[in-house]
Amino acid sequence: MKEKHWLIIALIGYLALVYVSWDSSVKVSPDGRLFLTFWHTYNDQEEQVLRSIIKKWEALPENAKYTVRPVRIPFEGHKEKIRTALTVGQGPDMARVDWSFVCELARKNAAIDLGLLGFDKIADQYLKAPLKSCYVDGKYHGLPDQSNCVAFFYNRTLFKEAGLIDKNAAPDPQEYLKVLPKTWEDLKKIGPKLTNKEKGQYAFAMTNTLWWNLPFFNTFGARIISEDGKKCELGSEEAIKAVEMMAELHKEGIEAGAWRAGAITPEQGFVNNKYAMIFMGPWNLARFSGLGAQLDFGVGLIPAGPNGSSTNVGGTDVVIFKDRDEPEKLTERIKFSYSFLTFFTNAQNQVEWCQKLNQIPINMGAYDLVKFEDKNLGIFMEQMKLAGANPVVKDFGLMEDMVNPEIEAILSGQKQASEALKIAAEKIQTRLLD
Amino acid sequence: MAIKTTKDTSVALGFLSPFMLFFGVFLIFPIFYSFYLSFFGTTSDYSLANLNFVGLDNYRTILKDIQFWWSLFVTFMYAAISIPLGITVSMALALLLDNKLFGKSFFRSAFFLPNVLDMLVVGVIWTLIYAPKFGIVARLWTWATGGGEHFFNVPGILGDPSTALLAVIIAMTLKGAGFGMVLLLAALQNIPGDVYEAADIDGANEWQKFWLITIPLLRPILGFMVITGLIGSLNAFTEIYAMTAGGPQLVVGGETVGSTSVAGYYLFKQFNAGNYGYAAAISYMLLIITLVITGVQQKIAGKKNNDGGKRK
Amino acid sequence: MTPKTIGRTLLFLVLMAIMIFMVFGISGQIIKYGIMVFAALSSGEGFAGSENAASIMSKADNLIASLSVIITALVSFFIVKKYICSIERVRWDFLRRMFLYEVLMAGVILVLFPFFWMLCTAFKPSGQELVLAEGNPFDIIPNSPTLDNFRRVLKIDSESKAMGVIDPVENKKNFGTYFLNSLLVSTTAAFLVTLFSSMAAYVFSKKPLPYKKNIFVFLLATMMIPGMMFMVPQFFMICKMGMFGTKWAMFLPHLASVFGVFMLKQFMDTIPDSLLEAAQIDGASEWQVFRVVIIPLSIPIILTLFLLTFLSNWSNFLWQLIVTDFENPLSITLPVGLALFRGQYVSELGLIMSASCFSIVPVAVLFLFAQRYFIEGMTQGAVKE
Repeated sequence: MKEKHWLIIALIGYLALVYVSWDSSVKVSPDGRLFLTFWHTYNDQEEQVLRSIIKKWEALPENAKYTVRPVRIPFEGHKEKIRTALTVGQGPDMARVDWSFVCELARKNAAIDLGLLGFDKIADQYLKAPLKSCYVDGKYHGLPDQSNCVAFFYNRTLFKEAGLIDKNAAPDPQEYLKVLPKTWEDLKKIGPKLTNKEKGQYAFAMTNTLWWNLPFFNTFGARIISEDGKKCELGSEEAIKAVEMMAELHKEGIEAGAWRAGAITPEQGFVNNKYAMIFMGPWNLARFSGLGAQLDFGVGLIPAGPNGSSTNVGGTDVVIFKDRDEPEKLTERIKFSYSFLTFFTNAQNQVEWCQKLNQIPINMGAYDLVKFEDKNLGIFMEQMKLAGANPVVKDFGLMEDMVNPEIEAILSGQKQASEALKIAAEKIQTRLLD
Repeated sequence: MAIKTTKDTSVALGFLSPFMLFFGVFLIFPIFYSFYLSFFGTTSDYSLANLNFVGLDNYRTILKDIQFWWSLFVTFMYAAISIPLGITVSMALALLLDNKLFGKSFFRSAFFLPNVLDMLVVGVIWTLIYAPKFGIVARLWTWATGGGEHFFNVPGILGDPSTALLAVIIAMTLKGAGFGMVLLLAALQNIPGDVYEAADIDGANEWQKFWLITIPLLRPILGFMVITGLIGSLNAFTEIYAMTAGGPQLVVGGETVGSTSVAGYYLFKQFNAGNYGYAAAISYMLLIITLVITGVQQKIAGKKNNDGGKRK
Repeated sequence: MTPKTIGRTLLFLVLMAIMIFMVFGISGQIIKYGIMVFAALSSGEGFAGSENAASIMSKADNLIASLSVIITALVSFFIVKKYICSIERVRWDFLRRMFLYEVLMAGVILVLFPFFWMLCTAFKPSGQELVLAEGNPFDIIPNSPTLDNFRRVLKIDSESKAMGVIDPVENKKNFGTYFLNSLLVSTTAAFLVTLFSSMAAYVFSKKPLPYKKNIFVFLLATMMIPGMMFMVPQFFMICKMGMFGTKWAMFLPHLASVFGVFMLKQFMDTIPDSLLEAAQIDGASEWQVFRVVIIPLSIPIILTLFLLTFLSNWSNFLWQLIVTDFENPLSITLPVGLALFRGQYVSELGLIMSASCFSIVPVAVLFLFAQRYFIEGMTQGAVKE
């Protein structure tokens, strides 16, 4: 009998559930304006600023016919979502995508060539390195909306313990910048002082994925893919030298071996005062500052190689898709989408955006106008100017899979740099470029 | 069994129809469609309408791809270790907890519970347990031996090509053993008690009873565990992604290969890059190879003991 | 005192020492966890909150130690008393049992450790989850706990509150909606899958059907193809049927579970045929045989399948992502919704773990309800002929 009661309760509960959450049309009808759908991956704070910028755009008299509907999709899986949506023709008017995805969208004929809309005239407003990721086969297929890079984080506690900084002196950030390695050679010199294997402390720690390794390549002036995107130059003299230098750092015991599978990651080692210097992006600044007494850190420029200091480029771009109904035409929807995106990323709105959200501007015009409380963000802005362009290739993930194992083989001493990089370059050439 | 009649058949079809309806609609088409896709290269756009036919090219590329054959080897190793280990642990748990034991439902629940955990969560946690120098294993070893340089610090369990795969398997076995235990416990209840009594009269000892009565009667469940173990090995991906990302690398005959790069991981990478045609070719290649191996194995096993199918 | 008794007593002492060690450790951790949760609940948000919780925790140190000493003492007293009172003959048996318990306890600690770690990490403040404990590696309970992660997942932290109303549709995009959507999808799917699978398994195991074996082998072969290969064609079909963005799309393609049929069929193979024949002789109809004989006997396995199917639909991220219509909040399920919360760069472990805690709740509730049948029921429903 008791079981029957339970079943009845379960059934009622289930029916209530169906009632509560059954589909009902909740899409609000517009106030006569046409919707331009914008799939973005911003977080709550960013979305709020985005909405205020949309309001401003709407208010302009020439845009009276249109409005932008921001629709958030998760960043995780956004490539699959967009791919499958485009397959059945349910894509949005525009979307914010990872920088590495633009090339695929362009080659698959999904993203509009912005040159047709006159983008070439305003292209030089944007930071060079991020803009390059949208430059596919000689045309701009998107524009950057948010960008970042890695810089050199250092752990002040470890610098003090190593005696590089006077423990009793008043904390002066300038003192640290003086001892911070300016070149890779400097790092090799001060490395041993910051290393204590018994305690598991190391001067430097690195992960081994191509994106995280780009600062090494860029400081040595090595390109992964040639300017025209046709040839893989991973086997070049400069690239070999860069990787040999990385291998030396590890061999001399300065680098922790954090690139090994299952090792303590640079981020975790840094937080635990085990790794003195790491590459890290601005996204962790707030989080690290929140640790208080646990972590005393600062940010500097990445040590210079033969090509000076440099870094990689991360972040996202926005693209406009072909019109669902008239794929061959530059329809009005596309023109207004373009108008919105350029408005969204113009100097004035970038200042608002970056000031509110503590982010690095991508519009050169905004560069001198933003002022941050956090001095470290200033370093990032400086580092960003030195960034080298990322390799543009149809699938960056697959390229990582061809390069990372070879570099690991070099780092673990199983292969010679010249031999391994040539193999990787050949693979990339045949599988991804030809 | 009852005599075969048309009525019996129609009853059977009636019971089978809901399942077959959904199977027919949502699986038959994708199965053949992905087979069809495996003869096409990457498309020039996303519509799937302008596929370019490449014939057997995808399959030829796979045949030449050393990375694929290596991943197949790793998958085979994964299956060869994880299946027997999983069955042994599940069986041990089931037999221990089949006794009259105070608090046995607590233990049964506790061992089953890890099954509901997210694979990614388990992977992250085991990575920390295995971590060099600061992980639990390394620290226990340091504590026991009094420190110094040792294997668990450099390169670490997951950092060494010879132990990484084993470490992943152990973590996954501990997560999944409770499931096998529940199946075996349920099946143990279906063994009629008089069979054991008869064996007692014949003077069989515990060991003989286990091998000659329990194991044969549990055969369907063990078969299930072997086959799902095989499928699990072919589909293994999240655990590798979370724990080792295919590494650590080792160089075999000039080729750099990942010591935990299983076929599922290799396949996922291709799928993730949007190479549906090539990914489909890989999965059909895997299917063919598995079917050939199981077919051969069935032939050999079938000759050995023909009485195996008696209960069916 | 014979050598045998001495050996026995020594063994008892060793086992007792291990037992004391384990009981002390486990009870200490459980009490500490309880106090940690209390401290987190009674403190506010942000840095000040976790500082406050830390001070409560440090005050409770003595309490934890003394409580676990008392528990350990009680348990050891109980065991020693039992051992001494037991008659000579059963003492070896007593030791064997004690050993068995210790092995089982060690096993439980090993398999449940990830669970415990998840429950602890969920309470750690942002950034702290990466901090390694220098002393005891098993001591993973946060010293300055906070509920911030849970608040952020539920969007009731001060930052989200300050965000204000955007529009009614956007406001429906919250944890509650996602949770109910997923609950509906997962229960429906789990119920239908278990029903269809057990019916099909019954046929494959016990009914005559031409080409039965061949069909079954074909089904098994299809299992070998990784599910992700079916994703794109299935998505194509769902869109053609006009079900994009509906709840049907979330589970319909996964209703034909070959895994479920296989599992139940293998289990039904262990049910003796004689039971079915007995029921048929009594004049039971086909459906009655299935309902009265097969279902009750397979209930532990059916419930296991229910639980696993529920779980797989509850956490099926990739498929649900691609069929989600993000403009409609009622189309967003929990795994997809949780991914929406997660930022692009920061993969904060604490946040992920607290989200996992939430998503495990219904599974845990289901498990506790079903436990009576599928863990304990196994001994009662036994067929001892």
